[in-house]
Amino acid sequence: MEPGTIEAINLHKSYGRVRALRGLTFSVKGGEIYGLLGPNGAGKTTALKILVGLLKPDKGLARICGYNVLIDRTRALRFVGYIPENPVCFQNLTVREFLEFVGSLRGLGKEEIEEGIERYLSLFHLDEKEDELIGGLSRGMIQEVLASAAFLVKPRVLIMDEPMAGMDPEAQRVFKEEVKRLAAQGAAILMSSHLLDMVERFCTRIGIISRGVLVAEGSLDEIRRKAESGEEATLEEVFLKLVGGGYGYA
Amino acid sequence: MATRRALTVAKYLIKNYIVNPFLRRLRRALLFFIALIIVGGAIGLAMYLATPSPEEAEEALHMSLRRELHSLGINKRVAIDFLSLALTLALIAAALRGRAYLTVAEEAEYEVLLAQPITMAEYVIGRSLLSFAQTALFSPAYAFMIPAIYDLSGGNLIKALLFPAAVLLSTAFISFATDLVASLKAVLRERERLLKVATYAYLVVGVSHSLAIRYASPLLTAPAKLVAEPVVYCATVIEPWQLVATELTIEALMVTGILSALAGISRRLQPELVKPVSEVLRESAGERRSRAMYSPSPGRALFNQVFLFEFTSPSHLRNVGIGVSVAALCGYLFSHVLNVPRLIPRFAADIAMLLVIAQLVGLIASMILARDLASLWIYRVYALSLAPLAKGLLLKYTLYFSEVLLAFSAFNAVASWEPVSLLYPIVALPISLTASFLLLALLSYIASKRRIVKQAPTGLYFFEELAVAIVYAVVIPLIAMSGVIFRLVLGYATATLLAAAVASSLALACLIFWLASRALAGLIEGLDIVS
Repeated sequence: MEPGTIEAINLHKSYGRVRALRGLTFSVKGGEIYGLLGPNGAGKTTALKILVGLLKPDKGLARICGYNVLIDRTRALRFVGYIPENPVCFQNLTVREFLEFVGSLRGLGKEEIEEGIERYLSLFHLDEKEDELIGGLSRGMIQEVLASAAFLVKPRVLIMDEPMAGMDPEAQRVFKEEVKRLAAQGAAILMSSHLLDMVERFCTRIGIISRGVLVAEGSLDEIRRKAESGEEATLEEVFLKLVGGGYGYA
Repeated sequence: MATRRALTVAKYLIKNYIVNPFLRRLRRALLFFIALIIVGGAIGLAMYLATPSPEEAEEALHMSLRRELHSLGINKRVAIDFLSLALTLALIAAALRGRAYLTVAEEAEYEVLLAQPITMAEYVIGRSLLSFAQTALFSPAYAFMIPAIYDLSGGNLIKALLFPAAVLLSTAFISFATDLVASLKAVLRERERLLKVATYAYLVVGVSHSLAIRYASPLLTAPAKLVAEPVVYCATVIEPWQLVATELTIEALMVTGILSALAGISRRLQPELVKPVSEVLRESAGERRSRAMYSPSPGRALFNQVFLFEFTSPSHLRNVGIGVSVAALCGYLFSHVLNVPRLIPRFAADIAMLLVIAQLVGLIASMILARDLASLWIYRVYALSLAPLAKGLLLKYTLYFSEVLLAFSAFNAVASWEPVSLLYPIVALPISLTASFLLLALLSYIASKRRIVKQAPTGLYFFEELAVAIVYAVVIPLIAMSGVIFRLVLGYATATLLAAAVASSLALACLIFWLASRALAGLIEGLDIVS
């Protein structure tokens, strides 16, 4: 698999008077697992939605594997697996139907789709649920179905917004293993999360945004240095120092 | 645009919205229903064809039907003109109503489907095919009308068999044309006002011309005339079937052209112009003016929140005012200015009222699920008693029903110069209360059987639809009956009788409100509704 790339260059986006992004710039190379952190309302979801073409930036450039998402959305999205923030899915499709749907839209062959469905339903222990309507599944299971769909298309770029919210520990482990496997094959992985412990252990690079701009980026050590925190400082301590938060506890 | 991908989108959307929620669950019942229609239609047709009736008798039957319609002022020209007018007004309404984006029931269409590598044209065409399939779902019922059309056409079997195709094509025309208008509005975005202004101008010119000639202006009938003609010609004697077939072919080409235009325009759409209903509702809630929520009485605070603030909001009062005024104006134009057969305005108003009530039932069901039940946990945790909530909800939805009835009463009052018609919403108050109670109670019960009430509405699903169907089954006949009874009472028009009708309705409404609010409070307190 050719390595994937994600580039967000000087992204600006406003909702009426609210400026969600104010010149956000970062990039993710193939093989990297990039954790995008930030307090609520910092602009994480907006940035991810721009990268998958769901939102149009007021200014700036979003590129996936070299393709400008705004101009060449469909070509860019051929490389992307995406897990949205809310576990929303087609309530009245069965798990199998949904995965077949996503596979068909990607132009995967019937056998390839079948193989993928079997693999991921088995990995997430969803085999018994394959003919159940998605509307009847729990939040965590829907998240697993969405993750299966994202993995099924063999993405060169994986963009995920709080992907593990609601997953049980076993599913989280399977999920992380699969993400690592994809990264090892050259996929560029971008995920937003509030689970700082997980990000600290799992991501190879971290970006912290606040009020629509990137305030720090790099490995945990690099961010520690930037925040002038001690060598033993946890990501949580560094994060709170950088975004000036802590709700009075920092 | 890859047609194959658009068809894939349509296929899975149809599965999600039609096949799995309805057909999959009702497979046997549906197969039985379809078989019944086919067998019934075939038997009916065979009986017509096989009856060895003399030619004169056949002719006498359709002639007598025709004479009956003529006596009501309905002839071929009037039928075509008013069907075209209705279709054109539907298109004009699509241009004037709503905002400059596409609304979808499920968030997944935006968050999941549009994050796939499909073009907007493929998505919009797939979606339009779904809308058409939803409308066409009831098309087997047209088969029931074949014998009647066969009779009206003077025994022309080919025209009778072409009738379902004519209705289906007219459905396709209006469905795709409405989608085209919606997409055009979304593409225009900030300049959407221009489209609205142009449409208003066209409407004003059309209405003015209608007033001048005292009949429906060609400006308001011409755009859909070719669609209306084959439907009506199927039931006429003179027009040959070849003419109907030719017009249907042209209509099919027109529909294909509209689909191509839709694909072309959709290419200019952005995914962010697709908004889930949940987001639209959230935005509309956000637009409401913030009001002081404090009240020294806990019950009053709850009542104010669910009923009073919403009911007395300027936008709500403005919309009701506009609706009633427009209805009254239409009543005046149709009955006193335009040279329209006497029966048509009243008949159209009655049908429209039932349709609007049916729409309102669905809308209220969505609101109950999306707003009231989704935030029920807040009231259950923080409110001292749910009785004010039950009262507020009952009153709110009863008033919605009454406001719609008031608009149609204004139409009738002006059309017939009978101001007492305005009393109809009061007379129908017990029915409005019953409808509100049924909706709230049934949906609360269904919500208690769900794992969770969605915080974001995803439209109505099978069981909610079932609840809505039950309410339709009770409310629509009641409203229709009450309208007839009210008219009979007006026929006698004695002040005593009217006063008695109003007083007894008010007394009955008070009794229903007293009983229903207690029952509802007990229900939402006792049911395990997880929101």
